[in-house]
Amino acid sequence: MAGHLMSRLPPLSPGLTAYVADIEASIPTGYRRRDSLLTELADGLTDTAEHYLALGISRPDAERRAVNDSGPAALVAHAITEHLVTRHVGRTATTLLLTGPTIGLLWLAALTPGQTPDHLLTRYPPLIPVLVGAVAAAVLTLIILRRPTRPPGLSPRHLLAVACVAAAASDIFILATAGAHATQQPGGTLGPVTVLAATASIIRLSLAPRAARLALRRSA
Amino acid sequence: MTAEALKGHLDGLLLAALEDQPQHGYAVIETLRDRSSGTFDLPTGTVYPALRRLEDAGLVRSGWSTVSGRRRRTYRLTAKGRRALAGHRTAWTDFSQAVTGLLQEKPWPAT
Repeated sequence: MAGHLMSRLPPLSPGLTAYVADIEASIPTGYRRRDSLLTELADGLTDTAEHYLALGISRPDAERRAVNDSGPAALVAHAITEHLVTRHVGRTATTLLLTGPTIGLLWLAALTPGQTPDHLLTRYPPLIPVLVGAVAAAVLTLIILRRPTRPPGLSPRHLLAVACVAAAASDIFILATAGAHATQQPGGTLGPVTVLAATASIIRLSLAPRAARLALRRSA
Repeated sequence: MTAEALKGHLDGLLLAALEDQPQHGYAVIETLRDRSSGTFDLPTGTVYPALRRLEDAGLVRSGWSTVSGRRRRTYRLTAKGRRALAGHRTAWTDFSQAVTGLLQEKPWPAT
């Protein structure tokens, strides 16, 4: 079945279109680079077919050989999906590690102004295991991704999902805490730092579950 | 030679194919095939994600260009990629010498 990308690809002959559509249908959507990789693949198939045509081979045979050279659709789809997922996992882990301290410092300034970071943790102890879990899982994800061989039983996909869930849990906890804090102050208004911290947490909370789902996807 | 047999060497081979000049994906595949006299006949569809992986590692850089009216993604080796290629060459030389030392037939001992 042809996917949404097929109409945007350079014109392909029917034999090549069916093959690319097969591959496209097997690659989950939602990843950056998905479309550009498929475009590149389609371009390479056209090049291969033209190469065979130039050798005097008939068009149907040239296309069949191009498809044969490219490999089984399931194998190619799997290779592309693995690349897309690995890239997504690495980028998301890095983003979590880079944005985590910023969001933490915003909440520190909002809830315990003028205090050191450890004050936020001692005041809200449930945050400690959640944040430790998120950071450890994200760091471990990046370490494993950089290793040429993966240690058995440690999947970067699952570690990233753990990091995302832990980050989301910390956001839910801190938003609930801030909400309770705000309702206890009669007539009190939320300061700009609190609004900023809450916005950052809500954005992360809305993105983390999707990032976890994308990390756990496999080719169809 | 199957893709399985090339496992672990593909990165070095792709970097070597890009050593002389920037190339688009299909040209990289042709270079691999030509320079190996057809021995490296891996599924070409899997080469594109491998090239992108090398790009993520900073070993190659790529950009779209238009050639004969068609958009093509062209890859070029970075300085880091050249250093990695040199490392692959050294590792391969050491490895192949060790394997040759073990596998080559020995002459019959003189009596």
